[in-house]
Amino acid sequence: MIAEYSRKLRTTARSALVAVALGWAALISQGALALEEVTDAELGQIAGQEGVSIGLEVRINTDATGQPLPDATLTECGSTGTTFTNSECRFALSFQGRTDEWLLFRGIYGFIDINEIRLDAGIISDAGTPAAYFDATRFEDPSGTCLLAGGTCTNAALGARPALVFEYPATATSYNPGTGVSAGYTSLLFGLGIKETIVIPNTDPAGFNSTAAGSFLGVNIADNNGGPAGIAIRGRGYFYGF
Amino acid sequence: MASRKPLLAMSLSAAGFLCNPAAADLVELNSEDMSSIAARDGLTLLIDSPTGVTADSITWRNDKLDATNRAGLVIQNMVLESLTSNPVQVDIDAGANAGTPFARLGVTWDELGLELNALRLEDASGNLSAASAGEIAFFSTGGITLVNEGIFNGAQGNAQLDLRFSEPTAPGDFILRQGGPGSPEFSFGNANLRLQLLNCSVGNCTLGVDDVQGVFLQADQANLDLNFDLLFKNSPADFDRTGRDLLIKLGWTGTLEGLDLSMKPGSIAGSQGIAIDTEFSYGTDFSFILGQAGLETRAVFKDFQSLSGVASPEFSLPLTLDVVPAGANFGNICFGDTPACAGGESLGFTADRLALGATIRNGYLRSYNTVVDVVDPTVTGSPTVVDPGDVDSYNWSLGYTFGRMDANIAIYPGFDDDGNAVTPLLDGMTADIDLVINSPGHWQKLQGLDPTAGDNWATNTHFFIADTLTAADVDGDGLSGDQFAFGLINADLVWEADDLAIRVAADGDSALQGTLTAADALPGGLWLESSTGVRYQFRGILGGGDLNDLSDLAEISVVDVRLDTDKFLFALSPGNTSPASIGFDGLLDFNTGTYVSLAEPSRPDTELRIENIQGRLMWRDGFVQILNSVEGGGRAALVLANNLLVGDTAAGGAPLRADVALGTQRLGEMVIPSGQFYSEISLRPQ
Repeated sequence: MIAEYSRKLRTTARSALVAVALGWAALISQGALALEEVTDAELGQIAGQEGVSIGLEVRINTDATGQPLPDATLTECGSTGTTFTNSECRFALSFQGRTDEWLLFRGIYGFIDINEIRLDAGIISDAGTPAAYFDATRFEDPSGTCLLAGGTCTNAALGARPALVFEYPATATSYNPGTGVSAGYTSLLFGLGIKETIVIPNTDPAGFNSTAAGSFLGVNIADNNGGPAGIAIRGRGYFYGF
Repeated sequence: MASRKPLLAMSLSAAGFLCNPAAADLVELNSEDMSSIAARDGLTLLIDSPTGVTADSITWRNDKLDATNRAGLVIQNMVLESLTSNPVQVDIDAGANAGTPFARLGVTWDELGLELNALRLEDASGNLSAASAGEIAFFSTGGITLVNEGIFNGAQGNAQLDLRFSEPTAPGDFILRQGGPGSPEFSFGNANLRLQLLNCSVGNCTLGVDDVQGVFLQADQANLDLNFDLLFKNSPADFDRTGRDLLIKLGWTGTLEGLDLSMKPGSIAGSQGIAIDTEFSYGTDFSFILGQAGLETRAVFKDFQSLSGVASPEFSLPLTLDVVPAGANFGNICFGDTPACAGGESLGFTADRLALGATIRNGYLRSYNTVVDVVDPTVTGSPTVVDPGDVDSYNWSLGYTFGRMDANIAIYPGFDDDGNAVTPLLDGMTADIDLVINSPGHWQKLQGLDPTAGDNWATNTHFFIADTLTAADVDGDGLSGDQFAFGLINADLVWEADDLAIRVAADGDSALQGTLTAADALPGGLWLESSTGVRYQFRGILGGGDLNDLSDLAEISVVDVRLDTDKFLFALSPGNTSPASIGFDGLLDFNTGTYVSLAEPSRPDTELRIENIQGRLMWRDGFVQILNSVEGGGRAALVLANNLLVGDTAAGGAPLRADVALGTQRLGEMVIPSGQFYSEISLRPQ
């Protein structure tokens, strides 16, 4: 039944961001099999047996609603235009061989809220391990030595490996194209803002604290109605390493 | 506490001193009978002292004849008093079991308060440390019942002991402060502590003395009940038991099996000190409790299970205590724990000055819970009464096992968080600490440096959460229901702290040599701070596996995280939340020894390193909170949350910067000059 359920996985996403990286065995939908609705109660019996549900929220220079600060200590994350006069809400990268040159992101903020992700264990074959997709070289080092535990790089050996399973339950969603209002897209709330991206040359002594103008890129990932983008996810991911 | 008067000796009130002369009758009794007798044919003493009992000083002095290592621990201005009359009753009785004479000693006390108004150390010349480590008060209603052939008898295996420092209607208190009345007080309040030997008529129960084990207590089964609320009061009266702010409830309760306690000679410097060994395994009814202080909502971690194949005992803590002079060498311990520490890191220190020393060698914990009960009184009936319907059981584990734990700890009287404080020091405590919790030799195996080393997973260190009744057949035996854990497996952990001040601080106290002032407004509570340096490092396999065979893991990454700080502060306080929670704040000034490494399990040289990390991070407004189903929006929850301030935002700290490298190849540098992050993790039943 577990294998059968794994073929019933569905994801529903509505946002600018849908790239959720999960194990290769996850989120596979094979059209040849009937898709059937499974209730949350049935889910509990299938995997996890009423296990642990984890919530994770991370705010980067944002408030509880995902809006960029200011607050008492940070004043410039939500600024518009080139008004960045100090070091707040910045992230900078310098690359090897390019001393004192910076790729500077100003007015950077983000919001991630993962709701109701469920943690469990499983066997990789539970997710279905279609032989057509198996490539033994992905599990070998450059000399051809198999790196899987046990030293056997076959589809069957991989399928027998235990894995950590993350699972999203179903959520009821709706979207009204007329009003542009959605509901229930709460599995993952994600927002990201970068007001300015600028290259700071090594002739600017301020380095990553520079106030120089010349942004060439800005980024905003959000919901049309404001706040972070909402994503509804239903399915399971199998995580393992070698 | 009531007023104190300087009496040097215990006084027995003549009016309260009763003696029954018919104490000589010896009758045949079984041990159960004896424990129920209350001085019907014995002697009863009622002890009263309306003025209290005081002592100017009590000294534990060791190496008295050793001019180099002679030192002592001195308790000054001790006061013992009670607000009730005849607060202490002593019952002495005699009987016999199968012809063997037994004595029964029963002592009960009612509402006793014991103040220790200074804790100092005494050097070889008899000079006392100018600073006191603090002031302590105990409040207790309890008793001792001992039935044995004599008081100590190592040959008698049917002794009975019931030791209790509280009664169900009269919980006790332990209060610590660092200064006179009015100084902030940190408490272990609403406390219960009872140790009772069980089934002594059929099992082994021995209280004895010999030249190998010293004074020892052994029992096949004993019941432990230890629980308390952590409490804090910023502006208390003198040892104040009212109106304290709540932090969290902690408890350990149930049967200990194979209990073995011993206290014998042992030393760090010289030849005289005390070695205290503790060993036991968890009984089937043993549980660890984490809950709301002062309330009934709690998580009960129970049904403990040994890591597979590990012989009893599951817990061992060999501890040595000694008062040592400046320069005393504590001996080295090994991070990694390899033979002769080859490939490991040898750690050790000498005492900066006169110190109370403690060492742990080869301590371990090899058991984990398999079930969690979430007790939520709001589900049915009264929110203050636990009904049967208020308890839900889940097959979860929050596991932590210690493969081998070694430690050196020096505690100095006085507050000195940088080793340079001007004397006389302020009252308080400062410590140097080396603590390692190892998976012996496993890191060498992971790095491919010792591929022939055994796996030894069953005696290693693991930190994990686990589903203990999965629907999967993880071990391939054709049956589901396996236990699957995920976390840091086969781990090593080290904590090195130099000049770590242990403070009971008030709201807004200055910290870290003025780095944090009232403007930063840290909440009062129990603070750990060092302006010299603290290092924390953990490493192991991030992955999961069958708890019955962790030798075959689903390995995700080899993790090695080292946090090296020049300034360190961690503050526990009442959380600024409703309902109450345990709050935390902190500051870390990283130096370039700090790194995070993620490597491929099969190719540990293939690693992503974020290294040479510098700058400042601050935790602010952090809390760990237990919520009942009403407070948690329909489900009980365990919540951990905090703000993380970065660089300049963190009280004007340096920018957080780090190099990024793949193996030995540096890719570049990244910088966060300032920022305010927030994170929240919640665990709930599905």
